[in-house]
Amino acid sequence: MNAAVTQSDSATKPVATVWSRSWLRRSISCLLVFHLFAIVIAPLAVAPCSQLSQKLWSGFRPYLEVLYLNHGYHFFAPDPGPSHLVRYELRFEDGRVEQEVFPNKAQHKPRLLYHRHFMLSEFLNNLAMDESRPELFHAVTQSYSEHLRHQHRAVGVILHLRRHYLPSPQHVSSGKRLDAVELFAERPLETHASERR
Amino acid sequence: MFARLRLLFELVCVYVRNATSAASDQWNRLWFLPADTTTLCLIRVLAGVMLFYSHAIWTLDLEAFFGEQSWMTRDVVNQMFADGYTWSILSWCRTPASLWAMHVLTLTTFALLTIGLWTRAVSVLAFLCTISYAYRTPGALYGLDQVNGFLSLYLMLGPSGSRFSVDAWRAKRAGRSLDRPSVTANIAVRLMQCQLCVIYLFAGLSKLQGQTWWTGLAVWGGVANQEYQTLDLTWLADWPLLVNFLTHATVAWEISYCVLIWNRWTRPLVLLGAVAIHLGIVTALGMPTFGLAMLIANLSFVSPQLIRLFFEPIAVEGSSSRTSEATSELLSATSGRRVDGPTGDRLRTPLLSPSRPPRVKSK
Repeated sequence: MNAAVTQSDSATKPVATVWSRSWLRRSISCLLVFHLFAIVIAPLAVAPCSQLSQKLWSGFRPYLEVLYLNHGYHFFAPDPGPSHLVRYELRFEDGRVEQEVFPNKAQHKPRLLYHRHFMLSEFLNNLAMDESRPELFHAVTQSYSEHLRHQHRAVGVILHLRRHYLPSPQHVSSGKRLDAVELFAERPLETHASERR
Repeated sequence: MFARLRLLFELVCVYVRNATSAASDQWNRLWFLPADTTTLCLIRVLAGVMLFYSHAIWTLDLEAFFGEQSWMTRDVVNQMFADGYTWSILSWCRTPASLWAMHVLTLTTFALLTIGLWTRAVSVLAFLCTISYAYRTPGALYGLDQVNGFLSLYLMLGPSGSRFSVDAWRAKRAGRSLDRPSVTANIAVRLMQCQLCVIYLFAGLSKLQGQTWWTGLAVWGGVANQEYQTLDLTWLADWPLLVNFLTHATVAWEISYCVLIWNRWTRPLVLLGAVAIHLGIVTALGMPTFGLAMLIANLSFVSPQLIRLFFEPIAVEGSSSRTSEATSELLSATSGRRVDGPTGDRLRTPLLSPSRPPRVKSK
């Protein structure tokens, strides 16, 4: 950059354009600084974080949320963990009971549609882990149940959160499969049974 | 004593004045020089395709995600964002007919963005549509939507339709040219670059909180995750040192990205790392759209000269002299002593180059 400065000073001064107006450059510069601060504050305020980050974030929050920039970018962090699926049991009017799982690679194609369903089950697990908003967890579980009940024309739905633990390299080296039974654990989420409308 | 203090004070004043002046010059050079629009326009085309595809997929199950009986009903989404500042045009769509109409409008918008017709207005609409979909079904989102969001945001700011577009073709037919260096193109590309730096920096730093990124096993966590897996790499179980290396390299690359990408000598290596990591995500981790979207964003660091070399036939099909001229222009973009553009290209003020930077001429 220094070499460039000495090479062409004229290049540093935009000429004869709307951008040569210093008030415009200053105004845009203020907006840019504000924006750059905002996009740094967003991931900085993801827990664990300082009180200062939290305070700053609350100031920038409206701007970040309106522009959909309020993200932490913690991809596969702090550790790649087990994945989560939802097994659901459908009870029909004639007494029949069926069960399925989402996401389902065979059912949800193409891959992006599968991933959307995968994120739904991961989202539910994140809410289950977050003890600060139990009412939201309850509402989302209820919403999923109601959706499945409506989609399958069932009279009742029971959701189970299924955790698929990661096998160790030794586990795989010894010839065991990624979908070995001992790698799964399950817990019921909520029963939703209502008469079909 | 007072004389020395005064001297010291003056030295401090001179330092502050010079530092401020230098910083101001650098800042102006960074943001307010007109830039070649080629990079921004290519990003528009590819981001347009990605936006179109990723939203077209909703068509397969539109009402399940956005309808009245969707996975997350409007009430639940409102409850989730009760104290927030989120918004979505889709919240106005309360009937299947209005939802489908909105969806068709959205896909049309992304198609127009891709081909570059009425690009300025369409890019604003594209941003509104992208965010509207994201905020209507927050439970089904992941990194792809974040990348789509910021790409559509920054594409709004610059003249992204001045090349590779129907707008440019129509202007040419009318005897005009849209293709001229632009300050807003520079700002748009710079913002994409800064956004990428923030993303990779925090992606890397957040990994340092985890144990497996230190023990070198984190990559195994991706490989052995059956729900993500699209390519069986479990043979890596017998190659623990390779797994360790890939884990440490990922963190090192992510954290160093925001520094090394700005140096013209290390930039190609960093971009090569981006290609390797994101192609790995595309092929092995079952997220081809996310991997490709990140690569599209990384194009913001690719020189317009290099892009023209690929996309302007004359640079490839011309005589050897023309090809060598293009090559030397390309090399000068990464090794010459000159003013850096947003992608390491040569930037010219209107005074230096009133139209677009020199290119290989056709016959």
